[in-house]
Amino acid sequence: MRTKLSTLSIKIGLFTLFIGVIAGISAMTVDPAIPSSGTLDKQPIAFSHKSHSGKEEIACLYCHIYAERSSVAGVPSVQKCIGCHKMIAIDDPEVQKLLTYWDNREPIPWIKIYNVPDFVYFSHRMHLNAEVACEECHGNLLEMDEVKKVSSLSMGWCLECHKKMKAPIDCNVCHK
Amino acid sequence: MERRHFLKMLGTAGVLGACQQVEQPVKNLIPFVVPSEDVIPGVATWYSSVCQQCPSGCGIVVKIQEGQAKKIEGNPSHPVNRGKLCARGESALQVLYNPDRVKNPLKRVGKRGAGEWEEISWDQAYQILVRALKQVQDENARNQLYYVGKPLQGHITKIISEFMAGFGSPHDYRYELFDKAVLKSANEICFGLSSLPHYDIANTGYLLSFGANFLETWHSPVGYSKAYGDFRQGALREKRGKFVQCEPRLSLTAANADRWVAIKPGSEGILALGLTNIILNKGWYAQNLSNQVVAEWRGLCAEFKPKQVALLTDVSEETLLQLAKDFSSVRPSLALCGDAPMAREDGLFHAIAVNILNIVAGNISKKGGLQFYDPFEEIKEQHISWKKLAALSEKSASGQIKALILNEADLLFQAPESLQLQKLFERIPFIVSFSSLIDDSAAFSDLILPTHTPLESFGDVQPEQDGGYRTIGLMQPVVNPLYETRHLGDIFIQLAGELGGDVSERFPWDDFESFLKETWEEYFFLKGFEEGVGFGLDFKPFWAELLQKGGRWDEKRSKPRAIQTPNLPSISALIKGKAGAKKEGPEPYYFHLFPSIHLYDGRGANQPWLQEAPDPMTTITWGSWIEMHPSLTKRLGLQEGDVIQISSPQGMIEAPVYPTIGVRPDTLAMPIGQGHTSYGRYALGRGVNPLKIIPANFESSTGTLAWGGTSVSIAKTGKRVQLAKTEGKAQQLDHALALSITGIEAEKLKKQSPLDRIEALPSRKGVKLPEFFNHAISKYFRPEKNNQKEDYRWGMVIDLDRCTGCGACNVSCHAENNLPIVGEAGVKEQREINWIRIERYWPAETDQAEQTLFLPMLCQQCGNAPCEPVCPVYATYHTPDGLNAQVYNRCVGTRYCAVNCPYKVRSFNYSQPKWPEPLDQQLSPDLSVRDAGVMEKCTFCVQRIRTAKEDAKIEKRQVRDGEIQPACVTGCPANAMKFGSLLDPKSEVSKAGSDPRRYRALEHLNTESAVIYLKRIVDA
Repeated sequence: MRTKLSTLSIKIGLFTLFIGVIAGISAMTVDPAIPSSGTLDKQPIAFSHKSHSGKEEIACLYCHIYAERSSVAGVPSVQKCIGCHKMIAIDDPEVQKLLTYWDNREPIPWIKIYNVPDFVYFSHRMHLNAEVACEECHGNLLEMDEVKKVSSLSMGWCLECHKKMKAPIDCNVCHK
Repeated sequence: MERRHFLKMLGTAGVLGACQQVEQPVKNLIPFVVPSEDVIPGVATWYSSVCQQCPSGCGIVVKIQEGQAKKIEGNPSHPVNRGKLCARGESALQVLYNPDRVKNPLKRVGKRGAGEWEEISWDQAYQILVRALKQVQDENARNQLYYVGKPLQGHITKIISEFMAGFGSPHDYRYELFDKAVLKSANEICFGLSSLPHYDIANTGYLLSFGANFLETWHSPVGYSKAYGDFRQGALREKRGKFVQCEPRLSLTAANADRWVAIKPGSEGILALGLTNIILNKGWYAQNLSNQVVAEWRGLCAEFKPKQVALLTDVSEETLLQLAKDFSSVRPSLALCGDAPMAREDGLFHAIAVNILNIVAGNISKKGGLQFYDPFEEIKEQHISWKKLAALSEKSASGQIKALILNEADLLFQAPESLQLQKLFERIPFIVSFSSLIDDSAAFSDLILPTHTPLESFGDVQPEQDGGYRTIGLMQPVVNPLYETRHLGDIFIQLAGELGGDVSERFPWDDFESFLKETWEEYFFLKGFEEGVGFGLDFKPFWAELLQKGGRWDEKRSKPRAIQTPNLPSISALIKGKAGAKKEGPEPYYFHLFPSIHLYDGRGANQPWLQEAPDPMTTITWGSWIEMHPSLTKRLGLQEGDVIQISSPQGMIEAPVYPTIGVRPDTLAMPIGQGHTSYGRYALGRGVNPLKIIPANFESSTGTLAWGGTSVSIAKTGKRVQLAKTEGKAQQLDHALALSITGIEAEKLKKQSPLDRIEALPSRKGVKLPEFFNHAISKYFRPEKNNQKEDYRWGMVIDLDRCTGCGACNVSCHAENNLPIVGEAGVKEQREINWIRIERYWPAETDQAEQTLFLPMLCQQCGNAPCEPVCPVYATYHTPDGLNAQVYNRCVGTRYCAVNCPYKVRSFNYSQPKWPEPLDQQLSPDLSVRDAGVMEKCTFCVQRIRTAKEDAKIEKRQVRDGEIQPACVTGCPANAMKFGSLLDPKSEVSKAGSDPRRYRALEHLNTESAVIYLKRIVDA
């Protein structure tokens, strides 16, 4: 009896351990940076993609100027913002914040929403060259006021698309 | 606790752990405020400049990413190095990002030399300096201000001389440990030209070197290494050049020679004249010498009879005859005189003797001989000899030196104790040092003004040897200054302004940059119009183009200068009586010093890459050693690592022994460069400084330091240390990794038609593989079926006949691939991380030292890779283009792959790598920085392959041959490596790989490696 019980308890123990480990691993792999509540740290300026690219129909590449030439798309320089906002909507309190940054010649410390680990190489240039549209990864920003992460950026998520599009799936292509 | 309780708790802990929110640090996206026009984030920009790690003046290009310097390579069009670079040049990044740089001006607070400093502002620093200089003026002692600095070789030297002249002091001096004054003086006597010639090694047929380490540190090592590669296997040559080195020690250069003649130290000149004597008497001299001239030379060399010469040099008469015959029968031939023989009291004699040998064989102003060329313009610098430096001591004793300005002049490190320079320093009331690091001399000053490092500076450099393409290289700041440092020129300009009066009138410029531009406008832009090479009417685009190119040089070689007939009376006076009995030193052993290939005159000692780079001959890192012949160590009962004491009448030092067949039994050899008492964490207290026990002797005509002619005695200490060396077995035994053939065999092979191409693809048809290889080519390792076509198979060809074993590839690889430094303790535990290493294999027979072989060993990127099937987590796998890739974030560190690799090219991170700030700024973002517990290895610089493939894809084409060059290939000074696709029959690597000299390392293991070696030719 004693032996049976102990075997059972071991089984239960192992099972709970197994569940725990699985849960632990999934907690690490499911990207925690996807804001579950949508209250990821507030951006320094309430910049709205909806009004810029949605309403005003400004092309993505007008501001993210490096996307076609580099691995990074680039955030627009403060000077770029000021190019329009020295005239437009200068009374808006959020634009006022921008003008303060400009007056102090300080960069705006935007919070990064889409982030890949250091061991991953991702190139905007190559994806644009393959005619992958921005919204396929970044969602419909035309409708978004605050940028929210709509893709997990997990390896499985990348591979799914790579396989579908017959893009290279060799490890070395993305892992550096 | 019971087992089940334990398990329960463990499970609960796991669930609880999983429920906890995993927090990730917030990352920011920082935009430009105003974008820079020439910066695209994520894309590298290359800026040209000039290397300042030695006086050669090689052109460099520096890779800048997001404002940080990542990699240095040779400037492909610069005449001195043509795109090549040495280990020291690669390491200049660690001068810029050295963690021990001086960040602010420092004022001494404690006793002199105690190392106690107070950080002060530049205003305060100028105040102190101006007050001190004004005091000198007020005391009416204007000519008692001294400036001593390294040779600047550019227009900045004018700023210094103007300042000193304006101040009213003639004491404006440049000095160097390895100065070339003796050779220049010899050239003045023999050719009427007090300059350095271009030695045309690439085109010569027979090279006879008297201790010239031209593959290591002599004159312009990168340029000469490149020439050496062409001398051996140049495409335009009909015949491979032959090379004999006469030197007491088997230096790296000697190890590359076809024959090493181990002569007695200090008998080089006697050997040269002995050969001259034979050539003259046998009638083998140059045809254009008139009978009268021949008679004169015969008279001069009459006393150097073979028998006597053999006795003095320890070279047999038979060898003498052979050397004389070869040297005069192969045309063109060339003789070189090294630094060590010239750094003796009779140094001029040796230099002249070698010049005479060249004259008699008819090598002057000839292709493949030596030629003198005009420089662009004479940049005058007043050099001070060591003898005069020592004489300053007396002046300071009588209070005749009021203030001393030092600029990167590490006198206290380089001067022997017997010169008593420390006393000189103690007596000078005020010493100011311009230096970006606190070297041994700066440590002894009252005020340190930190200057920009070369990569933060504007400047220009006129190399002394540019091969006849009149050259001035331009330096530009490639990064913003890291700290509160100033440009040397700016400091002097501001100082002049604050002093006022005569001095300030001489400086109409706002800063050094405007001075430099104005000078160039005057010299090259306006003058350029006269020569018809102007760039339009505006100087600005002309200047921008020059900065982009990296300087100005001729595209065509100029005509060699006319030379004068030798000054026979001077020569006669110098060489008379030299064949008499040689004066031996007071102690029993010769003490042969040589500049370390990595540390040079000691300036490389603060750079961890150079400290960790193995010495090519001994593979020792991070320290000093004494080379002794095994017969001597056996007689004295010494073993490797035994610490011995070596004493000269002037002092005593202790260092461990490294027994080697590469040195004469009566000689002890030791490298110069270690033993600093300051100079930052990597240099401080490391090794010993052999210069300290040199007697205060000078070359008699030029006064240069005679560091080459010391004799020493040995005493045991009973201590033993472990040497931090990377060599395993000293010989390759029967493994046949590095192969060589004789010259005769090579000739036969040359006549053969090229062999079939090697494609190095896995599992050749008909070869049955063991089971685990079948596993290896399962779908896990060969994802070729997955959407990707195999367009390429990357491969490399390494010509061992060109490879000199210098190790530049190793340092280049460290810089490109974020390789960590493990330090002395790490090397002792054999935990060093090298993706490419140079194996040095001593010959089986101890009397055939010239058969020493070097083998660059890197990942062979096998087709059937033994490392792949043993990885339990598929972290190492085979890419469609043939690489054995390593996925770092997948690696769990079992190290099975390293165990299974027959080439031992995988390195494991046993500890967390550290890069003390700001060294981490050099880390490349193009590849991972590996953690502890991760295996890493050569990738053929996959980040470069990736970039090239992407460019090709965007431009809808294939990768061009030569478009991808891994860091070791671009870094190789002798051009020994080629890289490309083995699938392309027209690629350079395919062609080179069809050479009948080819073999692959451990081919019998059927690894199908993609690195093809070409056998070294040893033509004894």
